[in-house]
Amino acid sequence: MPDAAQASVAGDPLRSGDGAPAWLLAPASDADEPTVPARRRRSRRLFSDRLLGTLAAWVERAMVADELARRPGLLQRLDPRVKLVSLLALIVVAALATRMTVLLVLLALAVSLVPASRIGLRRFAVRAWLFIPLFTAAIMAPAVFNIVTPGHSVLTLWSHGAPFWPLPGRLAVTASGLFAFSRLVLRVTTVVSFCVLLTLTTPWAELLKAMRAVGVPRGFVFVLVVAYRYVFTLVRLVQDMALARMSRLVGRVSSREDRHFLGGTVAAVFGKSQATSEQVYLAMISRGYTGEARTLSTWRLRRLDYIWSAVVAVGLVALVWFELTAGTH
Amino acid sequence: MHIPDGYLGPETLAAGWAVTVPIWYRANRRTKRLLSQPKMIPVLAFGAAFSFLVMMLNVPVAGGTTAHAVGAVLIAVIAGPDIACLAVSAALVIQAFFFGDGGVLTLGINVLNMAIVMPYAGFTVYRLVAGDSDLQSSRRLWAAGIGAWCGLVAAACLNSIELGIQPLLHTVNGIAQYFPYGFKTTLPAMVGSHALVVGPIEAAFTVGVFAVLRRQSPELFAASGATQPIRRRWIVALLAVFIAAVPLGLIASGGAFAEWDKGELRKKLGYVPKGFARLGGHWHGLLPDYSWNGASGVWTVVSYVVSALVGVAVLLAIVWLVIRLRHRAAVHAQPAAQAQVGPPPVDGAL
Repeated sequence: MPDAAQASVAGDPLRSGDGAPAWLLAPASDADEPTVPARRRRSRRLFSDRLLGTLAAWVERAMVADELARRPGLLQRLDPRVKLVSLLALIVVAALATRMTVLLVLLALAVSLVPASRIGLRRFAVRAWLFIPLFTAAIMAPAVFNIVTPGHSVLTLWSHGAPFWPLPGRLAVTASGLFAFSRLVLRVTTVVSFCVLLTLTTPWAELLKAMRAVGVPRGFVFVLVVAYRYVFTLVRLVQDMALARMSRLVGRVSSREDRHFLGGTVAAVFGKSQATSEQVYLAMISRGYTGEARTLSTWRLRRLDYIWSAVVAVGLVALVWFELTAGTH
Repeated sequence: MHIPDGYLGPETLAAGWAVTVPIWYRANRRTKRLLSQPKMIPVLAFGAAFSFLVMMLNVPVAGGTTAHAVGAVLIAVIAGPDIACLAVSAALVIQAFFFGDGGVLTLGINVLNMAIVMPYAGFTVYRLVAGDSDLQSSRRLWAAGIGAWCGLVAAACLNSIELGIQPLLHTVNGIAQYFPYGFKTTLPAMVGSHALVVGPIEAAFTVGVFAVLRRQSPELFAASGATQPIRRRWIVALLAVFIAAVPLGLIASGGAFAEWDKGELRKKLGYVPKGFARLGGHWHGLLPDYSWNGASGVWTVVSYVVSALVGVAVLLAIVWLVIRLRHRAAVHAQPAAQAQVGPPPVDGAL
């Protein structure tokens, strides 16, 4: 009875508007804010804190991928088996190609598939290009110089003796060096783009079932399905342990104690995973499992699948023919 | 250590798959003997989930930074190398497809490095060092740590060879088509960093978890313990492979640092230091420079291999002699010890 309750709000902490006391409903004033200890160094986060952050980021990534895989884009609408086989073929050609033209065409295809599959280009770029291609570019950087790849100099940094000892007498950027650098970075970027496209547009369970089409044994696919499902359980367990520790910590903790904690946590996770695997095994047996893995498959090939397969097949044949028969590099 | 796609040429990739797939089948068959068929799936699945989780966790290193371990040798120590191989392979498949950590085509090579060489080599070293010591002894801890380190370094070594061989195989017109850095760069960089930095971390991680597990659940280790000794023919085979690979040392050009003789010193410095001329270069040994006089062409290779055989034979003879002497000393000491262990002194107040 809201009216009767409202009438008795004033002064009575136990009988206010929606059952909550008035002081709880009052807005927080600045005086109530907890003060941050002045001595905390932001760079040295607690180990448990970082662990929680890593695991939470991983779970979030998994959920985002799941959400993207349900959008009505081009790649999402393909049969997963067709998608897996065609993207694998594209990856194979890209990983082995040595001509820049072929690599550029494939990269253009990969990039054009991103908006076609309703994935934001920025999110895709962050996920695909910010880790491995950037890392590759960093380690390939010395290859542009004449000390790794000799050849015709494009940009000479110095040529009359080294400024100090470990440096070579002559350092120049060579054309062949630039070519080798850009080719490898381009190749890695293209392959990673296709990989990320594959995983962002296919729910993980379907991707695993589609692996059957490529010849992966049924038992192994089953292992992967069960493993993926229970990784989340184990992640939750570690999160709980890290949070429990964090909420009981006062003061500084040494690296050594952190390592002990990690060792104990991993051992506990192993024990738990052992126990849970026993229970899962018994549950499977009691439901009639005899060791043969069966999956339910309701996929049908549709017109889009045929068109896509034809286009990709023709394109790849043309690219491979060009790669093998066109003149010198 | 996960190699992305695009770094390796087709021959290397094909070789990786050609080695990995048969070993998968073999590990699968041997696991079927250990576990019943229905039990295999959950056990392997949880092993894979555990391995995946281990690779996700960051081990705190001094200074507030973290590194991450592989955990292959840990699983091998607990459940045997075959299960470790399959579990880590599954985790690597998930990482390659889901994270793009390691390429899809290079999966064969990555599995070979981290799921085959690492657990099998690490487990072999663990068994060699642990021997038949008690599960709770510190020798087992050392064995686990050393095994983990050796497994990781072996994997890093193979990794650096796979990368370093690319410029030798795939260079057209002086331009590298795949990975451009040769052995000179990859071997010190990969093996050095893994031996000095990542290896100790992996060892510390393995030892830490092993110590806790063996205290809390010793029954876990009953199945895969060091009960079966290493079969001698494997050690002989390994030794034979090393001896056969000895001529590879002849490919390296130039002499070793600070191992020059008179002629090389004169060439380097323009003169021979007086002290060296007086003291050095007098003893040549039976097989000078690992060959004999007048060896040329194919005979240098033959003499190199013969030197290796002679060296191994001498070492084996010395070790055998030491073992015999120790055995004899132990036999002599035993009767005296037995005389001292007589009937226990009877307590007066019975």
